[in-house]
Amino acid sequence: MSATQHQPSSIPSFLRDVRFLQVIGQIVFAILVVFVVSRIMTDVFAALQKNNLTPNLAFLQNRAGFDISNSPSWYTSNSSYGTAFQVGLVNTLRVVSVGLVLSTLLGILIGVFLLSRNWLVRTISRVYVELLRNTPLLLQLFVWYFIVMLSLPIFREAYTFPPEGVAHIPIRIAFYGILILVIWWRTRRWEIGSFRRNAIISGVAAMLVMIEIGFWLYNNQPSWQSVYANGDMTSSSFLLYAVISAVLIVGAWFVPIQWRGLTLGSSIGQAIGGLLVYFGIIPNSAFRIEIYPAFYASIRGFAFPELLTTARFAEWMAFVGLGIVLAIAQWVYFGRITETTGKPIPRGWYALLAVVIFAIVGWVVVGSEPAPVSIPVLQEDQTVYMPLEEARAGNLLTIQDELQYNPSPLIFRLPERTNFKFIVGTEIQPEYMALLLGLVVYTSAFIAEIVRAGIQAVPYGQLEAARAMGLTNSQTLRLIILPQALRVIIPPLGNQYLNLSKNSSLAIAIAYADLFLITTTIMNQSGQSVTGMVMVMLTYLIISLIIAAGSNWINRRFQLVTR
Amino acid sequence: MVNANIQNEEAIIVCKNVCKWFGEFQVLRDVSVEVQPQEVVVIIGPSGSGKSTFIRCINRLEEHQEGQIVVDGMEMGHDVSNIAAIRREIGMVFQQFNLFPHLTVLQNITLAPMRVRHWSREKAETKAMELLNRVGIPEQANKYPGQLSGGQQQRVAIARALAMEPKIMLFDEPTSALDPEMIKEVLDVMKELAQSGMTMLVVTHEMGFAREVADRVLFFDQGRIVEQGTPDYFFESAQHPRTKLFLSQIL
Amino acid sequence: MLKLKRTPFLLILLVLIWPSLTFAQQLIPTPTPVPGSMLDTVLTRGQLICGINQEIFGFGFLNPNTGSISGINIDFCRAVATAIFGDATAIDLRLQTVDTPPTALLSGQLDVLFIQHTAQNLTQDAQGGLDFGPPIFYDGQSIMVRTDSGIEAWEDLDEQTICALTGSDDLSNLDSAMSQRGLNYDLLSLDTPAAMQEAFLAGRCNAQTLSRSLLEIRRHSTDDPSSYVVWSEPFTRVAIAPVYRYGDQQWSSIVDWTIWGLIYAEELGVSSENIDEFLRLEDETDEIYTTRVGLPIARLVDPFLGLGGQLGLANDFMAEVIRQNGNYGEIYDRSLGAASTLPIERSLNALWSDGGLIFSPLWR
Repeated sequence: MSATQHQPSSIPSFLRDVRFLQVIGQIVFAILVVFVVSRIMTDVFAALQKNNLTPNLAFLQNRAGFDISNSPSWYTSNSSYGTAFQVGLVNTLRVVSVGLVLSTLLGILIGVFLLSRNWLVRTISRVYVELLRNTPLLLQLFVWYFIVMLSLPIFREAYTFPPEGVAHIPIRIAFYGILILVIWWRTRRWEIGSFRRNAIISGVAAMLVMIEIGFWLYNNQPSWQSVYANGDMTSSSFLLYAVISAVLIVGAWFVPIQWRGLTLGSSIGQAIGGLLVYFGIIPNSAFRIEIYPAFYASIRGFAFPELLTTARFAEWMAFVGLGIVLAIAQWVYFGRITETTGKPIPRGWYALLAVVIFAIVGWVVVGSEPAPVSIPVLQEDQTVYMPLEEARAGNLLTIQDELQYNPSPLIFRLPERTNFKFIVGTEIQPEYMALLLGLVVYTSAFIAEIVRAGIQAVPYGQLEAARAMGLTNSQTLRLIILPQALRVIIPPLGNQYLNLSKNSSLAIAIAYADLFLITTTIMNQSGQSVTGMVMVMLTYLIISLIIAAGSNWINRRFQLVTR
Repeated sequence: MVNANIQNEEAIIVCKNVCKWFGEFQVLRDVSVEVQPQEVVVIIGPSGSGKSTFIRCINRLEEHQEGQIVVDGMEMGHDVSNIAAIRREIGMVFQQFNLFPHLTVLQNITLAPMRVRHWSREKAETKAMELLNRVGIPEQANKYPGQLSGGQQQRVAIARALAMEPKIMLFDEPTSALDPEMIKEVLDVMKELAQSGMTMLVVTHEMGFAREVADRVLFFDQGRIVEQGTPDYFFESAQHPRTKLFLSQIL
Repeated sequence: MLKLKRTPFLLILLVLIWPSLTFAQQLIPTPTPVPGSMLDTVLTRGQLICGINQEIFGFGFLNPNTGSISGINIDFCRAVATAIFGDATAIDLRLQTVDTPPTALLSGQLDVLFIQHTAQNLTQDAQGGLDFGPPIFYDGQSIMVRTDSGIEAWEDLDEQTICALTGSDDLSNLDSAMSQRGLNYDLLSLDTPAAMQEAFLAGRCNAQTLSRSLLEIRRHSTDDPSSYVVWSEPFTRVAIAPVYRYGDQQWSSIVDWTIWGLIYAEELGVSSENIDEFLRLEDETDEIYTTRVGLPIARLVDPFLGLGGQLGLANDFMAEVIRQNGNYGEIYDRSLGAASTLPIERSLNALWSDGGLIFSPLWR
């Protein structure tokens, strides 16, 4: 027996029960919360009521009365506040969804660069990551918008790519391409540094250089005009050239063995090149190609070619869909074959091939369907019937007519502009571009670090084991490294996605009409600040919850089973 | 110094004057060895003597800078297809097992046969079960490596290496990371393998194994083969003072 | 039984509600009327407390280099101080933020508010507590364009990009002005006037809209003001006027009639330069004096015929106000007109007799 006896407490035993206390604690807390919340609500409502601003959703029906930059066609200043809110939501989703994809791609790329063996690549990507991670996003957005975007040229002097003009592509370039391809194919298994490899590569190089020199002289130096395709074998200059070439070739036999391949190859090659030019075997003509810009950049925005779907698009999509179905069936079938026989089949390529073939066949079939003999067009306020070609030549077709009657399923149109706007083309606002670039570049720095850490978290032994088994580099990456790295990468990646979606509300600083900017205006004009704030919060909450749910779902699929 | 009977024509591994540096530090100095088919070579030596680096050069987990390594008639150089072909013929077992934690035991074993040798799944799985029976753990086939003990993991690793039907097996301190009570089960599998006629290069500190199983023992010190011979010769009448010192410390 | 999982939900609710509480606090003004006569309070204190702003050049601007504060808002505040104390320096200037309603004024911390942002509107009046004096500057929303843009009228703005401030009334004003005329435009709404100016100068938008006075100030802050134009005719009407608490008739009359006095002085041609010519000489009788200067001037500046006594001030209080501060025209010129670095045309702010809106009721 110890000296101090345990005294039975005077408090009743149920009050000392941990389970009871926990329940009581929760009830007290809940009552407290309900009380505080209801008190605050009452006060807020009373104050707002006094100003005739009782929170409600009825105001969403009222006329908005303000314009939104680059708003979709279903919004005008006569639309309701509710519609304006929808525009904001669409704009936010537009930047967030594209931002998620691009920042992931860029982040993975930079993350792999961070682990590069090349010092320069590694250092540049490290500087990139540190610089972007450690400066405020708002500042970066200001730089993207006020410094980068606002220093683009004015509309009329927009940067264009490719620059408008005419290009002359010499026909011989095609000949070069074929030649180089053939040589590469023939020599790809030859030993590096061997005599015949050195000879053939230096020979071809010397020949091409000689041909180019010949054509340059012919095209630019009047005194050389007579050389091309002259073919007179008795002229003194031809004989001199032949003798010099012969001396070079013979002389090549006397150089040390390790240089002989190079010297012999290049002297023979230059002789062949010279003769080809002299006898005019290589044509000097060129293709003339007119170039129209496909891309414009100015302070008013960016313009790209547009792809429009015509009335026949659905028919074509049926073909493509059939191709996709077949591709999937093929994929499964070949997968089974590989499993049972072990025979490797490039089923991905086959699947792609199936889709491409169906797309091409569908295009031809759909495009060759007979068009209506004549179509109704409006000419001087009168509907007249004429063939499609005639209407097009007469410039009477509206874009709707074009989409309805054009035989191809898709129309590709280069941007066209008037003095102050584009009438054809897909446009992107500088505000959108600045926000997208800012968010993507900023987030990619964080994602790069996550990817780097994820790959480094895979023990080096895994790589060694895979190599020792004879797996190729791509198999090692695909089957061993990535599945293990993703398990480390996905949870923090989900966080970065959340950050990106919430950071998108900084759009207000650079005039991009996102959810928050538009709601700010709605709140100011309607006076419904409380409702507006709650709506914005709930919307971001829902976006965040969706992203979080997605990343949790993926995360569960990569979890490891351990003891 | 006794030279074991080496017949050049038959050697499956031929190393001539292999040198390797880590930066300024030379790890391998003119290492020349020939290994006959079905021979079991045990490599011992103090840590840092270059013995692990040496066997890792044989399947090019490390790159040697000078000298020549020829495996099964193919030279280990910069030729990618040669490296791949040699790696197919060499199985390797690591100190840290290096099983793939995201794949089941069965998937670990069938991965390389299916992907590299292009076997059917059926054939690869039959082979895998056969090997799991051989190493004594067929019931673990569908578990993940994380659910196995160290000894079981190492036996799976051996089965995985054998699944490729290699001509040569490399063991890089296979028992060093194991708890003492699990060492035996792994050594038993290795003994059984040696008796079946597999060509083996084993880096180990298990002198009992060396004495019992090895056809030849190589002693590495400071990147050189200091002494080599049959186990009997090596453990009874080693000549070199470094060998004697090492053996006196370890035995 | 209450499960633990519920509590995060309640916490979220709490977090959602919390910001609304802060909003509510801003929305509830707590007027605490000061008992007794304002004039007595001010006289006892010996200083007039004015609420002003210090960031708008020409209206209320604290020069960061010299530390001196100037602008018409400041000058009118000095004028009221002169009316009470005969001393333009008897003022205590308090920086006011942009909050509406002005809580500092309502709670009695300020005597009068000369500020850019608080404009009279019905809700403000209906809620009570505040009253507005005579306008000292007629302003309104206007448009600024590049001189070489060729945009001179509304029709020229068709299909152009226009910059405006996010969340401001400017947006809806602009929209109704444009849609009334059936014009389309592209809106770019920016967060701050500085950002808007930057976007406009870079050429992102063809025009920007803001109050005329602010646009003029922005125009003069550019490298070459002549390459930009601000439309001199605003398309909305806003009057900048003094604000005081409602309820003290004497006090509001003092502020009102000081301002009207300055306007009347300009109309009568009495300025700080020539005020002495209009004062009564020692031996002049009422008749000789009124014949010399005219009855209106006598009522403004004479110690006997002057009307100031009815306000509880000296009969001739305006004489000192004009001497120390100048008349309305002088004050305008000094801060916004010819003598300043940003001449803003008087246009609406010209005297009634010159076609403007500025006039004084009768001094009788």
